[in-house]
Parts: sequence; C-alpha cells; structure tokens
Amino acid sequence: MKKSLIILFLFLIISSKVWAHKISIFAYVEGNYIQGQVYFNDGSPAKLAKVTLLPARGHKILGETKTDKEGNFKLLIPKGVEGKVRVVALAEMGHRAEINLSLKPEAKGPQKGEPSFPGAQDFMAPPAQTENPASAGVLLNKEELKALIHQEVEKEVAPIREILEQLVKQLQKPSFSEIFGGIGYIFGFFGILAWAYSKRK
Amino acid sequence: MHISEGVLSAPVLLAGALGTGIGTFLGLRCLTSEKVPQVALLSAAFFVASLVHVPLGPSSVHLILNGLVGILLGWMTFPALLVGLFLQAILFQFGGLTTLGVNTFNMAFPGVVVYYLFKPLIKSPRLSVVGAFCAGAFAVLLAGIFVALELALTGESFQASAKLILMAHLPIMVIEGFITVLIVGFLKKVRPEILFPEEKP
Repeated sequence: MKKSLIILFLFLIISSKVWAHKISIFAYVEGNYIQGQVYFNDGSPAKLAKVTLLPARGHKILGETKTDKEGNFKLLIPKGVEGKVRVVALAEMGHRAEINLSLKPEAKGPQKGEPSFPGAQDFMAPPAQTENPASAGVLLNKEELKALIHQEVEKEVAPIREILEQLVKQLQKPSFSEIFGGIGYIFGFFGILAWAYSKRK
Repeated sequence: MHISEGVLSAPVLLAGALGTGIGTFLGLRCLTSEKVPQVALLSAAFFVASLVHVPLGPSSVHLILNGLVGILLGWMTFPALLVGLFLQAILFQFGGLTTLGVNTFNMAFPGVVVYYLFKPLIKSPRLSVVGAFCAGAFAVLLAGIFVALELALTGESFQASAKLILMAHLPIMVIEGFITVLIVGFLKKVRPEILFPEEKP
C-alpha cells in the first residue's frame, strides 16, 4: 500500500501542476458593455461557454452571449437595465459560475448633464459653463471633457485590471496548504471513526 | 465531473442525495475497524487525484480514481468519496454542497458496479490485467454517462452532452485504466490480502 501510494504520488507530481476543477468568471462594466472572461481555474479559457445576464433576483434573462476562443465575452447591457445584476456562465458538463455586478444608471444625455457622483459638479462645471470661449485657448464642453477623462482613466486602469484579473485567478487555485489541510481533515475524520469503533468493542 | 450548484433541477438533486444516502448506509454497514485506515487513505488519494487536471479541447478533465477505489472498497466507496467530495466542495468549491449527493452518486456508484463486474476477473490469474484496466476505464465511462443523463434531465440534449463528455473522458479512461492496472498488479503481488480480504490466511 505504501509503495503503491508512492507510485501514485510520483504520477501526480509528474503530471505536474495542481489544478482546480470548476469554472470562474471575471467581469466588469465598461460603457454599455459588460466585459469579462470565463476560465477554468488552471487559467485555461472556457471556450464557447454560455454567458447570461440576469437580475440579482429572479430568472428573467436580460442578455445572452457566448465566450470566444480566448474565453472572453462582451455583453451589451440592454437599455433600462440598472442596479444589481448577476452574470452567469455555463460551460458544458455542468460547470457554472456567477458574478454579481452593480450597474450604474445609464449615462445621461447632454441635455441633462447631471453629474453621476457628488462633487463632480464643482470639478467639471467651470469649463462647461464658461460663456466666453475666447478667454482660454482650448475649451471643451462638459461632455467632451467627460469622454476624454473616461478615455484616459480607462487607459491608466487597464494594467491594473489585468493584474487584478491575474490575482483573482491565482486566488482561486487551490493552494498547497488547502490541499494538505484537506488530507489532514480526511485522516482526522477517519481517525475519529476508528476511535469510535475501538470504543464500541 | 463535478456538477456545479444551480445547474440541476431539484428532483435530480434529491434523487442523487437519496442514492448517496443509501449507498453510504450500506457502505458504513460493511465498514469494519480494520478497514478504516484503508478507506481513509483511499479517500485522501481520491481527494488529491481530482486536483490533477489535463486540459482538453474546450474543457479540462482530471483523474477520478473511482474505479480503483471501487475495486478496493466495494460499497465503502460511498463514504470514502463522500468525505473527499465534501472537502473538495468546501475547500475548493468543486461542485457544491447542494450537488454533493449527486456528485457522490455519480462517482461512487460506478465504483460499486465495477467492484461486482470486474473483481472476479481481477482474481483470475490470467485476466487480471484486463479486469483492472476495464475497471478503471469503465468506472469513468459510467460516471460520465450519469452526468450526461442528469444534464439531459435538466434540459440539455443528452446526445450532445454525452458525446462531449465521452470524448473528453476517453483519454482519462485510458489513463485511469493503466493506473488501475499498475496499482492492482502491484497489490496483487505484494499484499493480495488488501485486494481479497475474504481470503485472509
């Protein structure tokens, strides 16, 4: 038994990495889209997995798409959908993952330039409200400024997003401490059982 | 092979839990105090084996070892795998607590089936290798068929998912077959009383 287990362990080591068995989903909102990735936790992409958008509670399907070869998906947020939603990924063989997102209310049109967060007014209003365009070299109206800021922030944030994605993936892999902990639990459990048996006699 | 939570319908989950309950009851009835350490070891081996993944096509498959456990433990496969799967569910979120019953049944019952089908073959001096290989491979196949059936009962087309699962598990079937041959052959040579406890000298 000992030797056979050694053989088994050797085999496990030879076949290298310790991988998990489930799919995970990573998603974020960008503009009118929900973008993200579906992957097995060894990091390999889940190709052609079905991705559906559902409200936080309930089963009404709001949107649907499939992942591409890299496991990425891009889902258009239907008009009027806001608040808390779930994005559910379904891969074959009964794998399923979901993530909760909260959608901000849709960006308001230019006619009603309400700021989306408090404090934005002070920050963005002055250039837009300047009635005298000659006073400065370049003047952007509020919407343009907003778009520009969004673009720049998006650019700056992209690498962070990537790191975050990797971090999330890393976190979902079973760690060695968990694996050995699990083995310990198993032996502990059967140890208790053995003890109970010995008491009975 | 681990079906995630929220994929199957309630009747299927209940049926699976019931099957596992009966199996575990029967398993615990044959469990003797001398067998406890062996069950613990195999439970731990099963627990670790499921973490080894081979990426394949759109999915990834992993070792199951339910054939090997089945050959060695018979009905005691149920408690062994139940413990392993329970820990996988809470530590790694493979499968889930609601699908614990179904998942245990899917993997443990084929183990019991191969115990009755192939144990006589393994006992015979000539066909031992064939029996062991069939036991390893058939247990995986049967588990795959159960998963496909359950998915079919929940709406997915049986043919499509069965085809996919079969294709995905073909290499694993072969690998499992070889591993079972290796370990059974070794045990038969060195410690036959582990394989055939009823013939204890």
